[in-house]
Amino acid sequence: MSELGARLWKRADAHCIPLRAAIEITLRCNLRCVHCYNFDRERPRPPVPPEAELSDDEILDAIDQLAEAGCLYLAFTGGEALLHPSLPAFLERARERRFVVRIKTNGMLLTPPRVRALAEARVSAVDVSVYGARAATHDAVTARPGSFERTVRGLRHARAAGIALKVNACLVQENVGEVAGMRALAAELGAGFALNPFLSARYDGTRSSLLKRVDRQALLDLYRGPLADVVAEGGYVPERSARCACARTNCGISATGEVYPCIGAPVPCGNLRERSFAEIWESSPAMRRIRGLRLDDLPDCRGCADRPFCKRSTGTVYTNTGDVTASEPFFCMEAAVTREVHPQGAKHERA
Amino acid sequence: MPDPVPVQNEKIAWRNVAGAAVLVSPDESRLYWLNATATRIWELADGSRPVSAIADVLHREFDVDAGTCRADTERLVRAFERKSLLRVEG
Repeated sequence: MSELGARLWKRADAHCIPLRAAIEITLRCNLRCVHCYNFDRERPRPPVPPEAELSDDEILDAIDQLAEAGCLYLAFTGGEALLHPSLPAFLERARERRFVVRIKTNGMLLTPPRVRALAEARVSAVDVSVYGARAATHDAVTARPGSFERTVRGLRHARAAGIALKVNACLVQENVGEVAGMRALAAELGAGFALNPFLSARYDGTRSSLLKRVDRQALLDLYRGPLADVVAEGGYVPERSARCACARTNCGISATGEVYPCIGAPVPCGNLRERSFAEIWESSPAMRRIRGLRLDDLPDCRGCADRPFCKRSTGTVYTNTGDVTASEPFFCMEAAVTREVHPQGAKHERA
Repeated sequence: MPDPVPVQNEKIAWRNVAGAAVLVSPDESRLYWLNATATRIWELADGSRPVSAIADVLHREFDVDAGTCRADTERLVRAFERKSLLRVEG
């Protein structure tokens, strides 16, 4: 991040400006990913009926409200965002309101006409979920034969249209041996690459997504091998604080209008159908509590020597434990593994 | 004396972040952080008023003499134009 970029986020944090937001424009999806955090896609019906989702006008109003609140970086996500027939109208409104816009997608629907429309709508970047370097692996995670081929084809179409790309991979047991391959695929496509090992329990309360997490040895092998450079570059923050961007510079709006401290933190704070975004952002007790979290509020974390290496996310901790102040064993394990392999790790003895 | 009308480049994303305009280039490669005066000029460069009218607003709001405001506004508008942050009409 540039010096100006760091200054921008510091200023937004100091003033609690929701600089970054994600709107979940639909829960519908054309994949059935085993680790999906929305809900268990193998159930016959989603727990949220489609008619409960925000209407087009409500989404347009949410975009306006976010602009008024100071949001600059806006992501449209899902479900599968490209399934929403009114996405072009949302992009048009976002352009009028001068956002930097990203779309988070599985890439299946990135056809040439659609990527041309996205480029014309000045979408800044598209984040595409990829779950393997081979079709068999990716398709096993998405539970849709042929999805890898369509996703990679979509990435190529987007690349040809000049759209900036990032490959977002969730680390699951199925793809742990293909991380280097996924990085190579992203590089070949001219895309950035990010790997998230922190899976969430589902927002419907089911937890089988967590069974897909990798174990300590697998993570250690990755951090010593294909991800050694990534860990060395970003795995150490000496003065890491207890709080993350949740409710300070980040927020999320669910498909049913719930305002969250982050799209990955489904803490009920208020619904846009009942109160304005500004009112929820400024005065929701849950939002204020998360915003004000200090290290002293996290009893398991305050004395931990692994803290400079810990990527604790309030949202994932809440989703997995039901308590925003709890520790979460996977984060603790990941921090310990990072410390073990990081060049700075030897300086930090465990408490 | 020409009195051009500055118009923001609509491809530039931006927000006023606690008093400072932050501008983002279309490909996100450049970030511009404006000081208070530049922020006000940027906000007023919406195509609805010429440089003289923008300078008048600054003169009232910043308690700076009119000549200095006009010169500063013209200088900043040209600087923004060189960076393709806005275009100048008229």
